[in-house]
Formats: sequence, C-alpha cells, structure tokens
Amino acid sequence: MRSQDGVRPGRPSPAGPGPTGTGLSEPDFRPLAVNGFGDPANSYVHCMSTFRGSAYAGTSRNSMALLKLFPPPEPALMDPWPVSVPGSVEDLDMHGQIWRLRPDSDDWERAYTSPDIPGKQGRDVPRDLGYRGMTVFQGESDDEPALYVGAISTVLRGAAARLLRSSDGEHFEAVGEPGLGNPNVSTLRAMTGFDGHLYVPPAGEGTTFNSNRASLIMRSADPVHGSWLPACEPGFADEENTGIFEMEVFADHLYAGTFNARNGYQVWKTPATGGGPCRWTKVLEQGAFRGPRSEIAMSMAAFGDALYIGSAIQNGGYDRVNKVGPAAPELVRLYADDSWDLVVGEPRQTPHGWKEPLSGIGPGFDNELAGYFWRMAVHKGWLYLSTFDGSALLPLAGKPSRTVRRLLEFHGAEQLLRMSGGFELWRSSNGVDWIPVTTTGFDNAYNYGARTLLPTSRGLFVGTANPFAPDTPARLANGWQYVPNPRGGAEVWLGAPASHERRQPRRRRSGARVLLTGATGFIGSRVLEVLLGQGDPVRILALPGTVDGLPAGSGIDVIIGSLEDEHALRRAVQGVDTVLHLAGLLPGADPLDLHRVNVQGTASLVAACAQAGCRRFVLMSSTAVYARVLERSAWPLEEQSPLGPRASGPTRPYGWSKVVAERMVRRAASAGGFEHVIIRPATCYGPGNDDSDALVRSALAGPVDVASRQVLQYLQVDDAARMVVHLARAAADGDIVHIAGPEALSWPVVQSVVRRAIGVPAPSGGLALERYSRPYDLSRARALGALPRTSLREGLADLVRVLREADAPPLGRRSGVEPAPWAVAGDGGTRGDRFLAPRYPWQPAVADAERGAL
Amino acid sequence: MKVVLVERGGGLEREVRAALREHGSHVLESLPDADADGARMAGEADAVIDLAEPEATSARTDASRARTAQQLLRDASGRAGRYVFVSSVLVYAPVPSPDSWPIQEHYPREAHGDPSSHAYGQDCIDAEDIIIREWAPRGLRYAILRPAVLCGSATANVSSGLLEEARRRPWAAARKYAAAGVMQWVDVRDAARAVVLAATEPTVDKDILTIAGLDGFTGPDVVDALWQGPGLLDDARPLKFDTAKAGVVLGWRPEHRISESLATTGSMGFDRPAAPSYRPQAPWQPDWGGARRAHRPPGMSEVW
Repeated sequence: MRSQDGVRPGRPSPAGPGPTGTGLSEPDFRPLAVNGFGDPANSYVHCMSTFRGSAYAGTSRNSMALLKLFPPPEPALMDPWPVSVPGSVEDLDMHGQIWRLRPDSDDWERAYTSPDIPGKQGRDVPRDLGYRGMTVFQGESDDEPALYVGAISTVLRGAAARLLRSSDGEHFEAVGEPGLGNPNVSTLRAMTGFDGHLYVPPAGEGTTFNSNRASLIMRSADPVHGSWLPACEPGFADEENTGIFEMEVFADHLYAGTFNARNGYQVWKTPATGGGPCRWTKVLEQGAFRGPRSEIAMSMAAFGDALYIGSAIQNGGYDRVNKVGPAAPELVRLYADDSWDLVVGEPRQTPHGWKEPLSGIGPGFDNELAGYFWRMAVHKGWLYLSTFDGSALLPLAGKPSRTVRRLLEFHGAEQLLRMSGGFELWRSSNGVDWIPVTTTGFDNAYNYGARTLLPTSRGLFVGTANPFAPDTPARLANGWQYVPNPRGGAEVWLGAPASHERRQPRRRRSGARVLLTGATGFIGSRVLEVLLGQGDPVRILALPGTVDGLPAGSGIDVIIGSLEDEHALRRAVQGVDTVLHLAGLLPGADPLDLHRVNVQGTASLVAACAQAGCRRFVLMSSTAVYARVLERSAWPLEEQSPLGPRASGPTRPYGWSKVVAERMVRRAASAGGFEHVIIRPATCYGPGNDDSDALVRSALAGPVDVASRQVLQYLQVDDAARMVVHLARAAADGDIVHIAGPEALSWPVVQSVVRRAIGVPAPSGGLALERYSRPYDLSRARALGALPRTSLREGLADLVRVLREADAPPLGRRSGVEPAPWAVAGDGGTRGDRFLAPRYPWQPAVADAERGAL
Repeated sequence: MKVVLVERGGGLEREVRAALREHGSHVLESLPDADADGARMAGEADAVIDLAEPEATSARTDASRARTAQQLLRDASGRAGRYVFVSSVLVYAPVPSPDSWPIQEHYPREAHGDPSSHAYGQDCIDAEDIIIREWAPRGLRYAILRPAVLCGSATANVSSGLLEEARRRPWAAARKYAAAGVMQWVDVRDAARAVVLAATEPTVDKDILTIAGLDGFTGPDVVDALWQGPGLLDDARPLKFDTAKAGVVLGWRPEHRISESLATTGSMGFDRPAAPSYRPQAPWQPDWGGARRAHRPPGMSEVW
C-alpha cells in the first residue's frame, strides 16, 4: 500500500509514537449504521477501508441462513436455528453490497451492489455474495491509488471469487481472472500491499470459506491486468497449512499467518525482493507452541517494536470438522529478531523457554466464550483488539461443550447473554496492560463479533458481525417462535472522543444557574470543574473555611453556610434553576449526625427550593441504599431493587440516611411541584481521597487473598462527576439512576492489578473480569447516555501513578457514597484497617511512629 | 398534633403522655382497645399510637393487638394520619450467637420464650403483618417500634421483677435470669421519646425500628451491679440490638444508661459484699474472654 488520500489511515509505524490521549472508551463510540445499513440481511461488515476521503464497507449477507443451507461436515448443533431459514437459497437476497460514508457525513449510501449472472436453474443469481477484503493500492497500471475489493463468490455456480477495482469510489469493475486464476477459489480475504505488489491469499475453496487445498499467496504488481503469480509454495511446503489467513507488514518484511488444524498456526516472513522470488522463513510454529488450539493466525498488527498476532479456532472457537477446541484465543507478539512473547494466553514451556502471559491474562481475556481474537488496529498510539463471542448462541446450543454446560448451569443462558453477550473490544498502550472498552458488543448481544477495525483521522470504525436477522427465536409461552429482531444486522460504530455527548440532546437552559452543595468534597469538586468547564453559572453552598481551594477567577458565586442555616439556604436557592445536592456526611458518621445533616439538611434544602421555585432538584444518594447489595444472588441490582441496607458496619446507617433523604426529596418534590432526580453512585475512587489511598495500600498488604469473593464495581471520580452533570440534565423528572464502574473486578484481581501497576510481584493469571456477576445493572444510565469511561484496571493504574508521583499522603477527602470494601461486612479477608500496607514500595522505610501515622 | 392513644396500662403510657405534652400534641382519646368508637376517633387523628408492654398484658394472649390493627384498618384507613405500633424485640427469632449480633430489623421473626412471651410475640408478629401487608398498600404511613425490655421507675415488668428478686435472693435470681442471655433494656423515658418522634417526625414513612438501650448485660450482671454498684452494667457485654436505623430515621438515641435507669427504681444502694458463687454459666453462653469492654463514649458502639 503506497498511499491514500482523503481520510488518513491510522496504520502504525513499527516504532510509532506513544499513545495520544486516554484511548477510547465505550462512551466515545456511537452507531453510524445499524440493522445492516437498514438491510438486516447484511450480516457482517466484512471489510472496510478509506478511499478519497470516504469510508467504504463491504458486507456479506445472510450468513447464518447460508450456514444452515450449506452446512459444514460437522455443523454446530443449534435448536432452534438462530434465524429462520427459507427452503432454498434462491429465496434469499444474496447480493453483496459495498457501502460508502462521505466525509463528515453520518449517512451511508450504497456504492455498489453485486450484479446478477445466469444461474444453473435458468434464473439470475447474484455474482458476489459479499466482499471480504478491501485495501487501497497503486499498481503499475494505476495512475493513482485505487480501491481493491475481494469478493465472496457463488463458486458452486462456477463463478470464482473476483477482484473489484475502483479508481473513483463510484464505479467498480472486475479485474483479472476470477479466483486469481483458480476457479475453485471462493473468497479473497487478506489483501496487503508490499514491495510494489498486491499480495492476496485466496482464503476458501468451494463452499468452504476459510481453508483451501492450494494454500497459496498470490501477488501482482499490476492487478489491473491480472498478472497474478504465486508468492510462495503451497502451504509453505507444509501440507498441514490449509490456508493463509492474515498478512501484515512489519519491520520491512511481509508476515503471513497460516491455518493449521493439526499443529497450530505458523507465521512466515519475507523481506522485500523487488519482484524477485520471496524468501520466506518460518518464524513461529505450532500455534506458538500451544498446538491446534491456536489453529489460525487470525489477526495481526504492527505496534511499537513488535508484530501482534491473535489466534482463533474456526467456527467460533470450536472446530468440529477437525475436532479442535473449544478453546479461547491467545495473543503473542513477535519481534523483528524472531523472538516472541506470550501476551495473553496459557503459561507453558516452549522450545524458547517458559512463557508466561505478560498481561497476566488468560486466553480470550479470560473469557471462555471468546472464539477469536478477530481484528487488531492501531489508533492514536493504542492497540485495539476485538473478539468473537459466542454468548448469543448459548440459549440455542443443542449440544453444548462442557465449558458451556458449566456456565449455563451456573449462570443460566439469559443471565450470560444479559451480562456478557456480544463481542469484546480491548485496548492497550503498551501491548501488555489491557483495558476493556466494551464487553457487551456495545450493549448488543447479537453483535457477536467486531469483524472490522478501521483507524482513521475521524476516529476508529468498528464493523460488527451480527447475523441474527431478520428474525431470531424467542422463547414464548407456546415454545420457541421466530420474532423480528430489532437489534439484528451488522452495525458500524465510530469511536472518537466525546462522541457520547452527541447521543443525547441536552436539556439545558441557557444561563440557568446551578446551585451545587458539597462542592469542596471529593466528588463535588470534580462536579464543579465539569460545570465550570461547560460555562454554567454556578453557585455553591460551602461551609466556612472550605473555599480556599476554589479555582481563582472562576466567577463562582459562593454562599457560606451549612444545611442547618436556613438563612443561607434561602440565599443559596434564590434564582437557581437546578440544585445539585452532593453535601452530606459519610459512612462512619454518627447516626444522629447523619439524621441531622443527610436527612434534615436535605429536607431543609428541598423546602427552600420549593419556596424559591427551583425547577429541578438532583440528590446525590448512594448504592448503599440497597438491601441486598452484598448478595450475589440478587445481582445485578436495578434501580427498582428493594431498599434498606442490611450490612453491619458504617454502611447501614449511612445507607438509611440516604433512603430517608430520597424519601424526603420525593415527598417534597411531589408537594412542591419541582422536578427531582436521584442519582445513586457506587463507591468512587481517584486521586485525592483517603479511601482510595487506603484501597491501594490494602491491595498491597499481605498475600493476594484468592479466597475473597468480594466484587468491586467502583467508579472513577471524574467519570462520576461527568455522569452526574449529564444525568442532572438528561434524566426525566422522577428518575432514579444508579451509576457505577463499567466493569467489575474481584478483590484478588484488584490486588493483582495494583501490584502490577506498582511493579511488585503478583500471582500469574487471575486478572479476569467478573463478567457474569456485577453488582449493578447500568441499563438506565446507559439509556440516558451516561456511561463510565474509565475501567477499574485503568483507573487503579492511574491512581497508583498519581500516588507515586505525589509520593505523599493523600489529601484527606472522602468519597462518601459507599464504604470501601474493606469496611463492608461479608468478606473479612479485606478489612483494610487490619491489613493496610504501612507504606508504598517506592517510599523508604520510616520509623514506627511515623509509620503509624500512615 | 392530634393523637389517639390505644393503651393497655403500664408505665410507657404515662411517659408517652408526658412526652406528647412536651411536644405540644393533644391526646384526643385514650382507649383501652380499638373499639368502633375508638376507630372513628382515630380517623380524625394525625396519629394513632398503639402502646403495650408485654408484662402489662401478659395475661392477655388473645391476639388483641392484631385485632386492634385490623379494626383500625377497617374503620380508620384513609383518615388516620399515621399508625405508630409499639411491638417488641420478642418478635425476633432467637439469635444466641453474638457473631450474628447486633440484631437488625430485617432479621427473621419467630415468637419464642415462655408461653406468655411466645403468645405476646406472636400477637405482635400478627399485628405487624396486618400493618405491613394491608396498611402499606393503601399508602398509609406507619412506624413499628420494637423496644427491648423497658426499665425505669415507671415500669413494672421483667426489669422490676429481676431487681426485686435480686434483692431478695441474688443466687436464685442470677441463676434464673442467666438463661435470658444478654439484654439491652431501654429506659422508659427514652422509649417514650422514640414513640413521640415516630408519631411526629416527617421522616417516617413505613419504618420498622428497634429501640434498645445503650448497654448490653446479663441477669447475673444485674445482680452483680445491685450489690457492687450499677456502674458495672455500663458496657458490660456486646450490644445485642442495632438501633442505628432509629437514630437515622428519627434522630433518636437513648439518653439514659442502664445505671441511671436502675438508679431511678430505688433498687440500688445496697452495700453488701459480692457473692461470686451466684454467677452461673449458661450452657450456650459463649466465652466472653472474661474482660469487660473498654468504656466507650455514649452511643459510639461498634454498631456505628
């Protein structure tokens, strides 16, 4: 690939710059296409590229129906089938499509549709079933870079896969011989420009789309005229290699990964030879010595000084034809000197020594249902990796594997689907520490894979695989019935910072003043920053002696007083549109003080609001209000879950104070005629907070408590502030919304994450997400457009970094929404008051007296 | 505030009346039971307070409290502002192990104890069920208070019985009351204050609240204290009941320590040597470690 114009590609240089920004999180993504671009028969976004400023996406169609009509030798047993299937393929519209997204537009237009050719039955049939590979390349006969597209063919009708070319993005024409000269080739998958040639490995044969007998890489310096020649021996002279699956340019070499169901994938490389014969050498074999469970080198990306290789087993991680799996994929990285590391996967002995996963994470990111590490891309200094996740098929599994049976028995299909259905997308700034972006297919369990990642200057495009359309089975009173699936069909998402802000219209009155209480606290100070950053006129009610740290020159209107000072309250609410009430005492306060401040203080403030005619009152409550917050059987808790905290310790009176405060707000709002919103945050953490400091030190103390079953879904404080401000505007009158971190981690994982961030030894493995048992369901917040950005892994690492840089005791502020885990009953193993580490590893030893002060 | 009292005798009524007067509330009617007239009157009240003490009604194990709740529901619902029902900690199922203390409002209920206590506890449970099941769906507010044993000068119940017996036959009293395990008596004045707060505080909605004292102790501890000084009872044992919810919802906390309460009964003041041999060990009683807990500031127990 020589160059592209228009949208700049984000392909990395091997020693590219470090990460730019914080990386994308789920709130940064927004859908650009759903329901298969409006045609649910589009099952996969099989390829994408940018060309002349526009983004192009090639689709394949009716994938699940085709699998039923043309089953492999050992088809997956599913009953009922995931989609309804007509009696004949002729009843399906199989015309492959290419879609185009104009620059700065969110509207897709169809750029190309497969033409018809005469079929064997005398009826016209589509020439191309879909488009599986796409790249921009300038060959010898190309005046300028052209868009090349590899098709999926109707090979049973004698038409091999063809290569399309477009020089203007408007008109597409077939170039060269079908199948690159091989009439049995059914698809053209990976297409890579290197050394003046376009390299294309035919990826299928007959009705098989992944493997083939030829197992060749073809190349041409002039695709327009179709001069295609083999670039390697069949299967690199190894008959067990039955396909070349992926290629990538790295360190001046072209790397190719194979499909090898007997021994595991191989990786070969060749230097540029200027048109001479390629000089292939094998650099990795036997699936990085894992064997056939790393059957395919499915994805590759050059990042930093290494080539990253993701593995897969065909057919969703369980190759019944070759009897491989089920097993989750691995990630390895290969250096220019042919040495390699295991990044994600199983520890093992290899001819190159003992390999431990550098990330500390097991296969599939510890997700047993991950079938592939499907795609990788580098975007703004971050490596992104997407998966295939078979959860959506679980309810239909006719003969589940032992792994699946165990999960089904333990969690139930519905729960699995709800909690962890859909593909996962992860990112890493160093290739070692991985952060989840989404673990639920962007909240669509039917997005069972992210098939395409396309980095561009506009953002990161994610094209999904979603074949659950147009209908899918639902278990009704009279058994399984096919019903229309409103969430079926391939999707395209665009990830760019602050995309989420476009999702929800702001309910905002220009110049409307906001009263913020608790503005000098841990969360309130961040909320104040957000409000000021948005240009809102802000008034705060602050206790005497607490306002010294306010930003100078910010124009904040400060009222000094307490919640018990009626005069101050009257002044504070005068002329205010919205009240954000964050002030309150924290867990550990005396119950009478909680009554006085959290209950009566709130009652006084809402009374003042009613009198002053405020429009909206937003109460910062807490997830401590829930009755069964420590009971896994009750998870995930929803906003309607029973209230009434039961845990012993400081949670209980604090939680009750919030229960009663909510009660007072609802009652007053109902009588006073103003709107009200109740926000229940989970425990917040972040720099400048005693509890967060104690969390880190508690995580460091003693051995990792692998027996602990405590699960944390903590919320990064800046996320909390942003979400609170968003919800204060976006939530409807009377809404109750709880907010928490994007994913949950067990306490031992938190301990390991903190230890890894600090650099002290941690047990290998055991960094799994709590995919199936999260304390809080975030559906309501998600529906209102309020999603947390910062994963707990990332937030803890940042916290450790800040603590290390500060090298000083914390600032002494409390979060005050829910007590820290080591103070919560039910898991005595994490009680930090007994187990706090006396100092951080980077701090020198101190005298006992000083140590006590820590 | 207009209040109707359903009372059955006992010292609590006297203290509640005094506390209501202090609050400025007016007692419309005081009824021995909720007959039809009483129910009509209740419909005009801001609050109905249904009082009772186990000992004051020990002879009446005839489900009268449940009937009262039912009667009020039938005749006064939709009109009565709030129903304050004084139940009892007797409704809680036995929780003998301190590992599961302090007992909270959501703990299982099960009547237990001697026949009289069992019957009274069951009566309270039945009445609570009526209130919870049938009052709440009608949008009516209620507060169910579950006080521990009341003590103080106005009471004539198990506390006064124990004190009297301890004066006359300390060995027998210690042995007899050891089986009761840890107790957490509440001063009748504190209990009355909780009742009035439950009737008047706007924070109350549909709440169940445990009302107990500041100190945990056993029967033998009382005998000890009787002979060696009431201060020995303060912080003698781990607390059995969690009153934090009452603190948060009502702003209530007991003001009187057990030593102060007993002092008002006139039972204290003996100057006789202790007799260690009268302290039996109940078979279930855990090892307390032999050490009394360090003194805590009032109310700052491990509960909060």
